[in-house]
Amino acid sequence: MTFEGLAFEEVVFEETISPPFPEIPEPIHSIIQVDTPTVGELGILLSRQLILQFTESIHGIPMEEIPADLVNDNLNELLNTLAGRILSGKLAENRLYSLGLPRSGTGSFPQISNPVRYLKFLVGENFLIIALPERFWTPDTWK
Amino acid sequence: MKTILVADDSATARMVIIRCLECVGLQGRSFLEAVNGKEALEKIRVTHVDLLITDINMPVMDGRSLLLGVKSSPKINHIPVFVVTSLGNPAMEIELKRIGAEKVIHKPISPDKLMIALEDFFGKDFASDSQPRFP
Repeated sequence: MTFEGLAFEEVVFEETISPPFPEIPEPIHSIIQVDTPTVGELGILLSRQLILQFTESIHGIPMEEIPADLVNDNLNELLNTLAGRILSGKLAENRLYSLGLPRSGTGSFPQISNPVRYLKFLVGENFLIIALPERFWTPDTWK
Repeated sequence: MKTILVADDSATARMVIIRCLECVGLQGRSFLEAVNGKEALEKIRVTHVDLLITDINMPVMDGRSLLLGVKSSPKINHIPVFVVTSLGNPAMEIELKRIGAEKVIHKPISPDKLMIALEDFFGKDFASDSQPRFP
């Protein structure tokens, strides 16, 4: 996992989970479409406090001074980088790929257009959830 | 004054890239920012730019189109273009270099990655004002 490099935080995989999710205070999410290959949408869900923590680490701005658009921007960039790294690790070396633009919003995950598997990661005493398309585990997706 | 244009739709990414450039010795340079390829091209046409660092995945005009726009124009095709992207596998890197990227750097960016790319392209004295390949 690459979060340590992105947000200076240690992130540890805990378990695969299903909705309903454990309560997340002030949830915020971001979703990105993998256009090529046809994998589907993947996403990230976490508390506003946790993304504020990441944003504070990256920008060096006190939490209370971070504007809302910078929080969304940081979350989108985090997911964009994560998606690229995940795909780079799975794809054959000669395979090109493309991503859509990340879309963030408040609340839990919106309806994701493809079947997904939810992975819970611990970040200190907090946690975040990554939604990965089921096709991610299908070997034919990556050929 | 050497001018470096950073094109990325993410304010976070632009800030991190500029901070990394400062970390590797390019503090004091003039940093311009653009939120997409179209804005970057507009700035390049009216401002002298010595180095373009661009993301790929951007709205309005993506980095690939920006790269093609720069490299197909005789007036600006001398500008070195470093692509910083999360879309980093060998096939993507080959494709970006084929259409003109001087360097491809994979996100998450770090001062070390940037330093290697700068030294490899400009030489060890890339931060010097007399650096010959910095126009």
